[in-house]
Amino acid sequence: MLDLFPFNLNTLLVAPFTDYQFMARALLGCVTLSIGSAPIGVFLMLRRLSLTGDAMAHAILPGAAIAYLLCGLSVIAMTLGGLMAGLLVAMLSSATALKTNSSEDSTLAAFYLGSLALGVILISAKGSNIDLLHVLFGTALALDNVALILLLLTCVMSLVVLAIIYRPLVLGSLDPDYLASFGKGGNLAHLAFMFLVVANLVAGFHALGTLMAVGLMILPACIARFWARRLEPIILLSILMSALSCWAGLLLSFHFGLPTSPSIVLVLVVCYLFSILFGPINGLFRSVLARQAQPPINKDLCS
Amino acid sequence: MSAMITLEGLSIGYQAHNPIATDINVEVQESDVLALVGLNGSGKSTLLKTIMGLVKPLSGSVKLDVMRSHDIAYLPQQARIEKGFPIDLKEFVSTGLWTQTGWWRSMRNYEKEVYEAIDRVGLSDMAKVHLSELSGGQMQRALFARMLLQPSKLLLLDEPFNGVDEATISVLLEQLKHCQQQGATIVAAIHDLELVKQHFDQCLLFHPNGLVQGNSQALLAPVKDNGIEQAPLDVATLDSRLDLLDHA
Repeated sequence: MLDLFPFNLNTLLVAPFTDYQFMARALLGCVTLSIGSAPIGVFLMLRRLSLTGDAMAHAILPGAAIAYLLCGLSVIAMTLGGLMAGLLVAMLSSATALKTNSSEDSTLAAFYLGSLALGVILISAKGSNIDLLHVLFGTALALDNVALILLLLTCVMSLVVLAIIYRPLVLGSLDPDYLASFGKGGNLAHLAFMFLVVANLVAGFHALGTLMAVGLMILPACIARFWARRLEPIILLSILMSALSCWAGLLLSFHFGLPTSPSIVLVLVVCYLFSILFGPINGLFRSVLARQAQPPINKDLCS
Repeated sequence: MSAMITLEGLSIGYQAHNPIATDINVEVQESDVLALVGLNGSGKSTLLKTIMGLVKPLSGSVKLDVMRSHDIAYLPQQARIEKGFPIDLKEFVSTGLWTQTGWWRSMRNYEKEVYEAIDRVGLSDMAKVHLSELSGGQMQRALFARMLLQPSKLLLLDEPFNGVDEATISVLLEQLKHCQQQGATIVAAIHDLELVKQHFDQCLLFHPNGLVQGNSQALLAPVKDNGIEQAPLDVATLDSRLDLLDHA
């Protein structure tokens, strides 16, 4: 029989995950992370907080670094450290903005930059460049059972909390004044949501590192926005895009010997660029076609 | 008849050392319709937010004859609504039900009410249209439809007729009258003095020297006599009006 493909598709796309346990674990971890963090990314985008996610991803670094220096590569210690640092930066920036009448983006920028600098100095002072790379870019190919369980628990917690605060989150993004008329529920929902952001970024840095975890959160939401018009399909599509990009990124990393988390994020960026061009909702190509389909303006009427 | 709103010695604003309006003493009876009239920045929106509980009073008290905050419907200005949010008109209007269903209960049994509210504001053929595709007037109708779904005893409206055409204004006024007939008390910040004179019995005039509450026709008539009824209120006009009231 004529072999149409120079490579076996099974060898190319599936076998790495069936033949190598570390690849299967990496896929399981990244997909679990996708299911929990992609919907959070959708709400971050809709609340115009995409860059807040990025800032928080940096803010968790010193907590994880201190835990690493005290306890070594302990998943639980680094998680707790990262969680505490992230929540501390979130609270400090909110409180400073409130008390000094400053904008929250400026206070967050100041605190997260300080936090990031402190984290890098801590790791550089006591660790090595390899340690720093581990924290910044993660170890998706070396996820142990504890890390996988942590990712699973974070995913379940995120979905449950999101289901509970779904309506106030929608209203907070759509019409904050109307939400405020419901009483204090909106503020509590926002706090719970920011906790989920930090928790997912902390869980994500084991797999993708602090710098890349936010990519898995935000980019799928940005992509989905070009393909769906309603909230629920956007959320589902962002989860699907995130999971597929993890699979494709892991394969790229496996076959070409590339670093794992940048490969996953680059796949997402390529999908994003494709969506900008060809997405049916506000994609550039679609906009050009729509403009061409419009009848020409009658210049006689304008004169 | 009992007072729906009682404001006593109220000072409103965002900073204690810089109040926007002070010494507000106002009573609004049940089923009354009151227009808040004044210059931009005189405190109309802030007073609505203070009554709603969104802004704390700097001093004094706000007493409302309602059992829970859900008995108050608040129509904010459009500026703060994110029209790019991925939601269609029907879903947007449905959010008015959340005062009844709370954050978790299903809305399946309320489909009929949602379509009725959309129909009442004349948007029945636009239920599936995306929010970003609505014009300013259609968006305002959508906000009214959402408000109609809230079973409220008190309606607080912030510039509900700003930037909408005559046809839309008459549809929205008709719905407000319907709400009043059902027993709702209505307080609205309005910029158009002619509209206030025609449709609002009572008005509360915001002035740098203090607030004056009274019959709309009587309070605002001299503004029309001066031949500048279409112009926005200015301090000189209000000053001359208040002088006339002082000497009356």
